[in-house]
Amino acid sequence: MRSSFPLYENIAETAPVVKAINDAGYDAHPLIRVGVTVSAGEEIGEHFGLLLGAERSYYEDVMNLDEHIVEGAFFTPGEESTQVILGKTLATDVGAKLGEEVLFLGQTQDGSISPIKGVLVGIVDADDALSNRQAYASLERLRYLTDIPDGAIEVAVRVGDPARAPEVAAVLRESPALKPYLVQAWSERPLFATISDMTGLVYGVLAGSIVFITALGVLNTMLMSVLERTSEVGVLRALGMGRAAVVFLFVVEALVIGVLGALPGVVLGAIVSFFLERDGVEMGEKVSAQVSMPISTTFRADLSLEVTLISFALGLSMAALGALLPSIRAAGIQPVDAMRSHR
Amino acid sequence: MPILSLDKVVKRYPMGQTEVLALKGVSLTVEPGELLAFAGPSGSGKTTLLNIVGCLDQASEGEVILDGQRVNGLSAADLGRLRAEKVGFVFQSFNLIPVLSALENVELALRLGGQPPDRARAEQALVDVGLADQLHRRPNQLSGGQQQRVAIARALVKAPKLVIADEPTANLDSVNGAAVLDLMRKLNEERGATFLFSTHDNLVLSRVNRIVRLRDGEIVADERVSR
Repeated sequence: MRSSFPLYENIAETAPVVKAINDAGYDAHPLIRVGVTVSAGEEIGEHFGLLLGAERSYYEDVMNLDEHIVEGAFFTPGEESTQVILGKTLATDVGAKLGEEVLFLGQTQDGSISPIKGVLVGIVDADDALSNRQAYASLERLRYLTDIPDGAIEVAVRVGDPARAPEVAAVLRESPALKPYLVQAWSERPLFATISDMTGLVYGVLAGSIVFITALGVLNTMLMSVLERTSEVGVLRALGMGRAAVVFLFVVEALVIGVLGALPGVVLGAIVSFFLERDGVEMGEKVSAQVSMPISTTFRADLSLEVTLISFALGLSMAALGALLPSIRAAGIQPVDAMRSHR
Repeated sequence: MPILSLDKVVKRYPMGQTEVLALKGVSLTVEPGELLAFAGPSGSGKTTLLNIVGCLDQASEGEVILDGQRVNGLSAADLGRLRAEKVGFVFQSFNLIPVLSALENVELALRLGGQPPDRARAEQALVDVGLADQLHRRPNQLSGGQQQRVAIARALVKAPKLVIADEPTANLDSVNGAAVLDLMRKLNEERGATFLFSTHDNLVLSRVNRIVRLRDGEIVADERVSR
């Protein structure tokens, strides 16, 4: 849940919002995320980054930031307000060392320039490029920076099953305390929706291309297989086989070949997809370097029964179609002409 | 009643902008049990005549009566049924189904002839042509002579009224050719099936009882030979 940018459209008091969400049975985490310049030392930095302010519980329970520390340590209990943690990429760009002071220059909700400092206590290497380009501080420090003393830019609600987010959002929208605010599930946020649409399009084009090429291959194979046997069709017709029976014979044969081909293909594909889904392939941070969202850089397959069955059915359909057209043509040729094609 | 009767049969083929007259009014009567050869040079109309008689092609004009049934104007499906029931074919290039064994090729003819599957009958047909030990071999595992014997068994297994053999010895050496012809003559005598050959092979002509000579689509001679 969030109010929209600019900063002055914030949630001025998060306490009633958090209480309303807690009353509905969910954990709530006030967050402030702002764009800042980052530098190690006193000089104003040239590096731009995102600075996140959140409570310790959000970092530990939701982001699992404490598990991704690769240098230094997680926030010291009670001293969070003087400490910062940097993502690995940002730390490298800025050249910050553990124990050094890091200067962030941002702005308050009314637009005034506002600096904060913090001692770098840890560097994290998360699963996604965005997290590695962020800096992390306490919610209190960000409230100070943005001059939103009791509020936040957004309040994140943790739902056990991500798929239930739209349903939970709908419930929360009905809460009187949340009426003044925009309540959105993660999947409804504009940036995610755009990326989701783009991803869907890319997957669609990729899957479509693969299906088209495969279908063309199967179609061509069956086409050639039947055309090469035109003389055989002539013999069968000469011996008294009807046209419909010839077509039926070739289509059934194609379906049998299709099953024999599609079954191992589906099994092999499912095995590869299973491992791709479980282990994934690391694509590197550049994959999501330009995206302001925590997108995993690990490519994973999505094995589903529906897609498997569609692939299987499509293979069979192409085989049957590939046999149908030439067998109709071959069955229509006079037996004498068909047999002559053999000689 | 004659097994076959042709009356002024004409066959035209389109060739580009013109037409080729392959048969120019052929009239002929064939009695059951005859062993007849259509002889003549290439282009004389032998194969065209056999195709029309065997219901593989239709005459452009004239009348064809096979076993008392008028063939002209029958649909492709009816012609198919007629072929399956009454005509057996032995082709020059054997034309066996390559993925089927000898036995299966013979059984297939039975099935297509509308008769129930009868493996024993198919086996006997192959035994009759001297292939008792080659039942389960595929065409590519058989010699040319053996393949033609399978084709003969396939043609005869459904006990057709008419067996049509288009240049049956053309792809065989003289020894195998003679053996195949002797076999067909024997089956003709034993079973009374009518055999029609097209040929310009003297080996064939020396074994038939009647020779109908064709030239340029017309019958120029009709000789009966006593053996």
